[in-house]
Amino acid sequence: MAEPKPEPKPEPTAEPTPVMRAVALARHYRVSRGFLRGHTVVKALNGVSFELAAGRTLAVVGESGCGKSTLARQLTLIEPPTSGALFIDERNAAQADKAALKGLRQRVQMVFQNPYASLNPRKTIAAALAEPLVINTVLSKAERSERVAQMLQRVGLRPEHAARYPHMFSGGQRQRVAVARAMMLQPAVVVADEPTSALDVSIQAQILNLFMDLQEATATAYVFISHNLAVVEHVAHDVMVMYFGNAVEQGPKAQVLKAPLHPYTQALLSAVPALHAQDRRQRVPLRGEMPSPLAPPTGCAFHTRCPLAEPRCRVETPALLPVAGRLVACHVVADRAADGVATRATA
Amino acid sequence: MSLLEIRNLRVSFGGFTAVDGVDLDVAEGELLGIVGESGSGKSVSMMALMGLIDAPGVVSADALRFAGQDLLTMSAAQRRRIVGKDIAMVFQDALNSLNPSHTVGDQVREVLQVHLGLRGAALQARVLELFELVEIPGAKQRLNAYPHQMSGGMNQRVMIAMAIACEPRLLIADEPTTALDVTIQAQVMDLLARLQKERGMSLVLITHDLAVVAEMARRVAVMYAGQVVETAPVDTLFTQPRHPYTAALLAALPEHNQGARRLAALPGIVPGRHDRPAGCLFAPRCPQVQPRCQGERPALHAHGAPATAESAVRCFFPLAAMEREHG
Repeated sequence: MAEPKPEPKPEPTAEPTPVMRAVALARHYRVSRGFLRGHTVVKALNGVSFELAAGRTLAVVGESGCGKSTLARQLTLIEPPTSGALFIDERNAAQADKAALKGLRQRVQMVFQNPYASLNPRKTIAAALAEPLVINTVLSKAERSERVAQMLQRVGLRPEHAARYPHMFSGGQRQRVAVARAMMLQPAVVVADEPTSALDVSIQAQILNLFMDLQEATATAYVFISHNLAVVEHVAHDVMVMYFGNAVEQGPKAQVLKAPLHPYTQALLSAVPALHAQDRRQRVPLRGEMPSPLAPPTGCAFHTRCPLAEPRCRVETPALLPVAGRLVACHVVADRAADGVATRATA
Repeated sequence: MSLLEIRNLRVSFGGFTAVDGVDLDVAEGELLGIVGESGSGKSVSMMALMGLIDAPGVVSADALRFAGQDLLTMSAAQRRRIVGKDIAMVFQDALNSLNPSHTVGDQVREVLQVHLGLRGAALQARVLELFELVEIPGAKQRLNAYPHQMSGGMNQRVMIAMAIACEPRLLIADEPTTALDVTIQAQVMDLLARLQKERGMSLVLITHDLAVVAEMARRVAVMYAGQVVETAPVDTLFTQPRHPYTAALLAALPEHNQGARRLAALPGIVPGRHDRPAGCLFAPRCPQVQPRCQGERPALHAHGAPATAESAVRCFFPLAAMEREHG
C-alpha cells in the first residue's frame, strides 16, 4: 500500500454553520423494578454533544444497549430530551413550541434498518412517497406526482414502480424506496439507523452508493448508525464511539478508526474480523458483557471490562477530553497524554 | 476419506429448486466455510443433511454419506441416532432455538438423557462440565436460568454446549454470530475455533460474512442461487477468485474500496423463482458474460495443478489469476 491514494477533497477552511448541533443531550427513562419495588432511572443517553455540517457524515458506532437508537430518537424529535439542547439550523428544538417543532421535524428524516417493516404494505410506492408532501406542503396533486417521479428516478427505480406495493420489491429496492421517502422533503439531516445491516453484501454496496450519490448531489448531512465498521469507514467523515450511553471516543475518522486511543474502541476494532491477514489486529480481549442498565457501574462505565482499569476508574467518571486530534473519555489515556508518553495506538 | 460426502443434492419446494445439485466434501477435522447471500441455498442444503426439511420440500441426492453410512437409505430411527449426536447444528438465533419454558440446564440435560442415557450425578456433572467448557461464567447458577434471563451471547453458548454434548464428529454452525454484537461475536468464534481444534471435530461454518470465513476457515465454498459456484482454499479464494461472482462479491466489500467514493456494486439481484435463466444462473448479472453462458449451464470443474477436488469453479470462462489493483 505504498502508492499514493487519490487526494481527498480539500476540507473547507472556514467553519461552516452546523445544520445540527447537540449539546449534552441526555435521555433518562423511569422504569419499574417490579411489583412494589419502586422505580429506577435508566440513563439511556447521558450527555452527548456533536456538530454536523451540511454534506458531512457522522457515524455512530457501538454495540446493543449503548444508546445509539435512543440518540436517533432524540435527533429525529420523536422524544424530547431529559436535559441538554438540540439545535437544528441553529434553532433549539428543546425549546420549540408545537408549530415550530412541526417545521423542524421536516428538516430531519429517518431511514430504518428493516425495509420490510418500515413501509406500509397497503400503500403504493407513489402514495408512500407523496405522503410527506401532502402533510407538509401545499403542492397540487400534479406537482406531487412530478416530485415523486423525479425522486424515483434519482434513487434508481423506474417510473412504473410507482404503482406497485412494497411486497413486489426486493429488500434492496425497498430500502431505495425508504431512502426516497426520507429525501422527499429535502431534509438537512438524514438519520440512518443500520440502513444496510439487513441486506446482502452486493445489495449493501448498491445502497451505500445511493447514499453517497445523494449526499454529493444535495449536500444532506447524515447521522449514520452502524455496527459494521467497514461500512462506517467507507461513509463517515467523523466517528463517535458510544458505550453505555456515553461517547467514549469521538473525532475525525482518520484518528478514531486508524489510531484508536480509548481501550473500548481498540477492543471493538480488534474484534472485527479482517479479510486479509495483514489487516488483522492483535485481539484486545474484553471480559464479559455490557453491564445491566438497571445497576450501572460507578465511575467509568467501562471499568468492569477494561484491560487498563485502575482503582480510580471505579470511582471517578472520566470527562471527554481532547487528546491527539480527537476527544477521549479515559483517565489512563488522558494521563499518558499529559505525561508526554507516546500515545501511539497498539495497532 | 471424507467424513461427509454430498453428491448432487437437490431440494425443491413446489416448483422452486432451492438447492440445485450441490456437491460438498468435508474431511475429518476440517473447518469448511460456506458463504453466500440470502437465498443461495446454504442453510437449506445443511438442513437437508440434518433431515429437517418438511413437506412440501423434497430432498434428493446421488449420495449423502456420513462416515461411510448412507443417510438417505437408512430408516428414520437410525438417522435420528446419528443426527443430534454425531452431527450437531447451531442455529443463528439462539433465543428462538431454545425452549422459553424450560431452564437452559434442563435443555442440555435432555440431550444427554436421550442420546447417551446419562442419569443422576453423572448427568449433573456432565452438564456443569459442558457449561464450563463453553465458558459460561457462574455456570452452576446459570443452569437454573431461563433463556430470557440470559444475554444473546450466553444463549448462543448454551446452544453450543447442547450441540457438543455428545461429542459430535461434525458440527454445523449456521450463522452462529450474526445476531450478536461484534465483541461477543469474536468471543463465540474463538470458542468455536478452540472446540474444533481441541476435539478434532469437523466444523461447517455457514455465514454471509466473508471476513469471518477469511479468519476461521481453511477451505471455502461459495454458493449462488442454490449451486456451489466455487470452492478453494481460503487464501486462494480471497486473492485469486476464479468465478466472476466471487470476484464481484469481494469487490463490493467496503474494505476493498478504500479511498473510492463509490463501491464496485454488483447490479441486479439473485434470480427468484420465476426468473431463473436457462443458462448459467449468474449470467444476467455477470460482467464477463458470453453467448455460450446464456444457453448452457456450466458444471463444477476441478482445476489447479494438480487438479484436485480442493479447487473447483462452475464457469465456462473462469477468471485467470486476477491482477487485483490495490490502493
